[in-house]
Amino acid sequence: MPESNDEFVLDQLIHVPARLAIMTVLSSVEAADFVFLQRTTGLTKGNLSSHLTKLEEAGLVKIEKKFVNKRPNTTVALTPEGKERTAAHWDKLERLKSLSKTPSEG
Amino acid sequence: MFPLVVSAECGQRLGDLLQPTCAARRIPTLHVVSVLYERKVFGIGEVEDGALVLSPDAVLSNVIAEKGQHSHLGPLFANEEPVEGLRCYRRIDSNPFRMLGLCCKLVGMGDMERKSLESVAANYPYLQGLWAIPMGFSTIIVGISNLQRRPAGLLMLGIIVGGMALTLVAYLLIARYYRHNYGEVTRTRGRRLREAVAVVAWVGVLFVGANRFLLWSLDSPLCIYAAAFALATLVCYAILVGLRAHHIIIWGAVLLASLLPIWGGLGVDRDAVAMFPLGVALIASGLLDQRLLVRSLRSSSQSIDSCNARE
Repeated sequence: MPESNDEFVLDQLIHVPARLAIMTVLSSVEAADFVFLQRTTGLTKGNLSSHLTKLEEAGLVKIEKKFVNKRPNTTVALTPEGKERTAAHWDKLERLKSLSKTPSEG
Repeated sequence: MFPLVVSAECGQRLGDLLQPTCAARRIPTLHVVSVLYERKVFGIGEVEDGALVLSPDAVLSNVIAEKGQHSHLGPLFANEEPVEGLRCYRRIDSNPFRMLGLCCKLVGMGDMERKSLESVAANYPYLQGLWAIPMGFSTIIVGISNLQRRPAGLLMLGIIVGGMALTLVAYLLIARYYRHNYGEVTRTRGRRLREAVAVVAWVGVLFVGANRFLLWSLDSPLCIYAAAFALATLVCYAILVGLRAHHIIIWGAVLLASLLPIWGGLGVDRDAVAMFPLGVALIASGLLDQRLLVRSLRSSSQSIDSCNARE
């Protein structure tokens, strides 16, 4: 049983499934490009772009745009704050999930 | 506090259902509603002015979710679709305040596996199995060029030069294919370190296994070189991505075959001949890695799709 209600308060910016997926993917690599994020999340270009903009505005990711072989290439990486908040968010979700388990489920 | 807006009807009907439990726990029941997670009761709280206030004292998931004790909850929560009339999921999901959508979000979390998302990104560089195709062909060409009775003169030169040119073209095309279709990632420092360890382990095992002054012997009826190659590859896979079924089957089969006493008759050609099954194993293993990559990418994007659909 939680000691305070703060444990239930989820980070709403990250908790949107698409954004949580983006942050989770980025947390296991140093950086990923736009195509890879699109491939792993299955989001459309516009959708992914808008989620990334929100995350960048919140200071959770940093976006680098450059040209590779004359083609535009967008690389995304988590900021230290983004890393911290993603890990904290997953911890919170795990704690909430564990509350829903019966004793027999362990 | 952790408020959730629910309908009065929803609160009333669930409150009625939960009354026995609430009575036992001395919790006011008139407007008690449940917060659901994967169709199990996650916790309950009181409704105040149309908002559910979930206080720590009201979280009784461990008690309420025991279906054996509260079998009357079973039919209500066993359905995939929200029960008409109660519509707990929809009421909560469709409320205008996104931050109140606990039910929907937590259900989503169940589908979107954290570990699978993390592993698909972390393992991506190592599951790009198409690279193994030119590598396998090169191994076979090395085998041909090392045979005692290899094709003579210009033909052999043609095979080597042609093979190298094809390999180079294949590498360029594969690099382009991955870059355009799957994108690129920069590995973490930890992963790069693990990669270095894997390469050192691969070289180390191969060095010990195939060294002329250690285990290798021309007179042996076994093929120690192929055994070392298979073992080194298994070690390398284990360090990089963890052993999958197809790695164990393919490289385990090569390892076993190379340790059967059937290689004696080949004499000095033994190791060169062994390059053929090694090349084929590399290609087969690579193709199955590629299939694994495609499947894991597909399943990660589908799980996010389903979460978004519920939102």
